[in-house]
Amino acid sequence: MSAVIQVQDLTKTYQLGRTAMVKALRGVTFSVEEGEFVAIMGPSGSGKSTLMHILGCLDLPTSGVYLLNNQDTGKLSDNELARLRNRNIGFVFQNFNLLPRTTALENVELPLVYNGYRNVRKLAIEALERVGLGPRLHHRPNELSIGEQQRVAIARALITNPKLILADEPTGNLDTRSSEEVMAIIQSLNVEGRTIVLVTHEFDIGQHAKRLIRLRDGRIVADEIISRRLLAQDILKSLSPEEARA
Amino acid sequence: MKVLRILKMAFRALTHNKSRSFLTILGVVIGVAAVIMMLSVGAGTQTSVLQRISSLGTNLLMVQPGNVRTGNIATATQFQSLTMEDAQAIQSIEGVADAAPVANGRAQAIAGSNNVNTNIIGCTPEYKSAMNIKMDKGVFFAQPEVDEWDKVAVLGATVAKNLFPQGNAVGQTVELVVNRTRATFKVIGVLASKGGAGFQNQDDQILIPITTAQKLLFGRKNLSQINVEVASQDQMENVSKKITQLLRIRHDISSNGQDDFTIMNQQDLLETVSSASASFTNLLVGIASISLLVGGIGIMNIMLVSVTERTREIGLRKAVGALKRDIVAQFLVEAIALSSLGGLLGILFGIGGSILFGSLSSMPTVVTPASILLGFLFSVIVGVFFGFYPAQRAANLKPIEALRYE
Repeated sequence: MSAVIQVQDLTKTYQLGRTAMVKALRGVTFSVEEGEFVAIMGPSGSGKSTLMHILGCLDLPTSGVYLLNNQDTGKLSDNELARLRNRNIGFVFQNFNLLPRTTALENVELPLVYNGYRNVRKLAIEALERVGLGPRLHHRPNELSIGEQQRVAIARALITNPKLILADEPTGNLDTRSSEEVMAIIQSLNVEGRTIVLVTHEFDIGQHAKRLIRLRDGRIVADEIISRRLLAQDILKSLSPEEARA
Repeated sequence: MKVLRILKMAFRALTHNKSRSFLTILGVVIGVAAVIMMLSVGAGTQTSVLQRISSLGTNLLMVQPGNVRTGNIATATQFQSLTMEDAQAIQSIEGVADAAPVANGRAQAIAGSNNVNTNIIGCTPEYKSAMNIKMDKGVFFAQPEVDEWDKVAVLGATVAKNLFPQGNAVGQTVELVVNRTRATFKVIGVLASKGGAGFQNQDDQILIPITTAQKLLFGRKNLSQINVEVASQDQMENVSKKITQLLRIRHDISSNGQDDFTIMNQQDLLETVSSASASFTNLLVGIASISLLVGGIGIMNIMLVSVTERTREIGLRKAVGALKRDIVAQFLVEAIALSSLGGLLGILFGIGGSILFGSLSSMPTVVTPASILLGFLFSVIVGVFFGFYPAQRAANLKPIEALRYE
């Protein structure tokens, strides 16, 4: 097993106005091995979103070292970081961030388009079928349910076949059933061997992971293995039939 | 990233807000249309003037009072240097087929309740063949009328139409007024229309015998011009030299004094008129380009708004791996699509406008392929120039700030 993420003494300080400073991260150190499923939890203001953005190479730390696949991200240019995100990381956001007025297929194709890939269409169809949206290929986001929109976003995260999936409150806007459907997909991705890092403030969702890191005031306060993890497939089966969609 | 996909993205973004896109390109549409129309007016004027000059014949020398020097400035103090006697003297130079004197000025022409201000050309019968003039009705005056200072007039087509709307000009009388001098002329002919334009509209003139013009109307003895027809083309230079010698002696100019007259041949005239007309066109195009510039600023403004509106989209694109140049390409293509669409519409309106303008006014218009190309090129350049800054701004957004933007 090799480390996908290695984080050493990470800090992040935001300057608010002239004088006010916010220390979002105050020295965070941990590593994630390939194939792990880590949930990062904490109350709002604990720094979990900031940590997620740094792990996703969307933001740079104020100090500390972040190695992604043993590569030091602090030494890369903007364009190199863009390539790194494109090839190694799949993002799932709380608000999906789908392009409006653009079909599900084209939304899913987007990362490959920036990758210079050919035969984009075939891969996009496969990814959408994978998340159960085979019949919805040509629908636009406003023609899809909230749960379906998030599944399109997951398909988009999958299409470059990344080893690492970063999910930032993926169920934050979803009802229970859609949440479990999304978590079922994420768990199945982990079974395939992909490394998952999930940020959530919902206890139940956090229990779907294998390992739990708790943040408080920018520091790790707990890092533990989840002994009795929840399996989304089981929960879906237990949901009453009335709640099941046609 | 594939060009087709970028174009598709730009098309989607622009059609999403159709009325805004349309209003944005309006500036470029007007700018390009204006440039094309101005170029067509310039080209049309030049073509018609050059045609007229060419029709003068290649063995014509024009002797004019004053001295044209560099910068085309005639010295005004020497304007009254040519006389009838000069013309007669030139006539007797060897190699001169004919020397036709011309005395012109402006006058108010009155017939009944109609009146126009027009160009009065005092000339001799030879003028008709020298200027390639064709009659519509009646006759041109002949030598006896010139000798006897007859008060007869030949009207240009426009003048005839304005003074005698019923078309019965020949046989009527027209009163010409210059300052306090009034004289009544009998109309003996009407010229065929040349559809001319520019500074020497041949439809807007009245021809009268030169003697009558000098003595009765203008009250002066000097000439505006002497048109010298040289017997053959290879004698042009020789005759020109002889005229210079002759006039210097007749005008008592010392050996180091400056000529008080100018001899121009067709080539000189062509060059003078071409350069005048070119600077006229440049001026018009310069003014028209300003609206193109304003149109470009409009595009930049809307592109900046668009970048702000789509900050989250830009953030997402960057998150999934868009490079700076991908974002630059996307927004630049949108700006160029806007401006070149404006350019195409502008070309259509410009062509339509020139045709309309040409048919409604006496100014001839010619839309050249070069002006269409220039108009389109301008619009694309405007798109690149004014689209670059917004595109750059979009590309330099930090991904996380763009994603978090509300």
